[in-house]
Amino acid sequence: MKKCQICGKRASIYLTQIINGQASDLALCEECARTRGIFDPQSLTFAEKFFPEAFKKRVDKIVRELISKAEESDGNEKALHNTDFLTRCPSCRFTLADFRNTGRLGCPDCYSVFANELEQPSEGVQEQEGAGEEQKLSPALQRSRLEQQLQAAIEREDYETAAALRDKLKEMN
Amino acid sequence: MALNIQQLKKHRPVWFRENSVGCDVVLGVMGRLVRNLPGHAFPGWSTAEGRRAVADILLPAILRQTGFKTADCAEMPQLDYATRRAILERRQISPCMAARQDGCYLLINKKQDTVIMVNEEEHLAIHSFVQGKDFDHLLALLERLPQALSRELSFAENNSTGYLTSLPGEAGEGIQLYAVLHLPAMSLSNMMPQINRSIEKLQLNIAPFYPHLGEECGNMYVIYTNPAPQGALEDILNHLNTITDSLVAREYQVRDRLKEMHDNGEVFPSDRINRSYALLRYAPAISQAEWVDALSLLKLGISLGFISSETRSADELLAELTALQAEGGDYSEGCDLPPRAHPREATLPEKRRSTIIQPFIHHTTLHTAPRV
Ligand SMILES: [Zn+2]
Ligand SMILES: [Zn+2]
Repeated sequence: MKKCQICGKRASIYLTQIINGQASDLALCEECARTRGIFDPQSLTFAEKFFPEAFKKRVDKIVRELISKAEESDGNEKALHNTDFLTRCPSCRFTLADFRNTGRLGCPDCYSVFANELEQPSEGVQEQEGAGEEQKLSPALQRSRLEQQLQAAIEREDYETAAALRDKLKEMN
Repeated sequence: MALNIQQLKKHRPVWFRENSVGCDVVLGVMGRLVRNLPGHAFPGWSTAEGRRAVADILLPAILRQTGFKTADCAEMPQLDYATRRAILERRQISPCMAARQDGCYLLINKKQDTVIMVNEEEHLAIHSFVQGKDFDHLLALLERLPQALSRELSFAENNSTGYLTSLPGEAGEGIQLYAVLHLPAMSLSNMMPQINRSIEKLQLNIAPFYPHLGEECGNMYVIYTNPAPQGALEDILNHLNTITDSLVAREYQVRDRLKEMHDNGEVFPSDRINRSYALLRYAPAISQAEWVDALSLLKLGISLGFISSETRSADELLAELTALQAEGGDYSEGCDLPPRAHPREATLPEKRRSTIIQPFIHHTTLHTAPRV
């Protein structure tokens, strides 16, 4: 039995990713995959065909997470999970970390559970161009908007815009 | 009721219906409306059982409504890759839906002007299509089903945000609007990069109609709004309407300029059109990209008066070319390559090509030699 490389539970999803010319295998449990934007593990093969760029991006993100996790100590990780527990949607079990990871919500009730995160005025990120509306968005919402724009840019193969958006996202992290 | 796939494949989407010289720029408009059920996880986060629970509520309710009682319906696992590819390329469904499986359903009404997706990115996503630029008709069509449904079930919404969606940035009216434009003169004049930039500054989006064939292939573009925030639907509609009108006006201006250039003896516009004609007439095999490009330029040739027929009017010629464009999805069937990774090399065999293009070629005359 293979274990999920993130949480250690039984893995049910296997991905092969080419990184720097080397194939590496990922084993994930369904929950870890879904909280990282691999939302519909059943239809992985179709997802890979219909939006290969977006799909690759999500898998890359998991790989990066695994790498940084290997470098970090476990202590922080546990603390993070504890705070997650306080902000878990009772209806669908979606957590604040899931929202920050994916920019999406789990169910309509999440809107009230994560209301603070959704309405929080942004701090720090001030050099937005579209001053008015953008400024009022919470960092998580801004990130979700940028990620959407990035995906759209990749889909229409506008790599120049995509690169600029990717830089903006990096700055936010 | 099972989805009649043969029927679906024969269907000609609004983008490929007849239009006439003088109103051949806006091929059609599309609206996307989304709703979710309260108390159920969004399809991306729910399990197959959760999706089935949502479908058990939505499907019977949809099939009870006037106009949808005889709709064709299929669960996604019934659809093979080629069918998914074909309806995705015509922009009838979203890429997310194309990849969906268990517990996700696709419905199409008999008139085929409305496609309903159950458990796409949202519980309910409706795409409606109208030929030409009739946004009022489009909205009426789009809102008919959710209005009828709201009499027997409630949708997730709150007072401050509007209708709730899985992406919080998309909550609000739950409506997004699209226009499909054919801009051969502006593409030919290398104006599209500039248009792309100004569209983005105007808070609208632009995408190629055939993204898998490249940025400007077929000279067809989709201009679309962001999802409307609560209370902003009318503004967004007016905005798209205005921008579409100005693009149409510019396209005709550029066409006039091309005609002038031609009259002044410049070879450029007629050369490109003649080459397209020759490609369609003589190339033994032709790729999808060449096919859609050449047809687009022949349509331009007709609207510029460079191509005419003794037996058919210009509108009839346009209609024939449009019918040929619709064939584009047909010959690509069964070509099972992932998009983008390998741009498709599907070619139209000579025999088939001659049976569909020859009748057109036979009764048209090219008279595009520059007058000196
Ligand atoms: Zn796990
Ligand atoms: Zn929730």
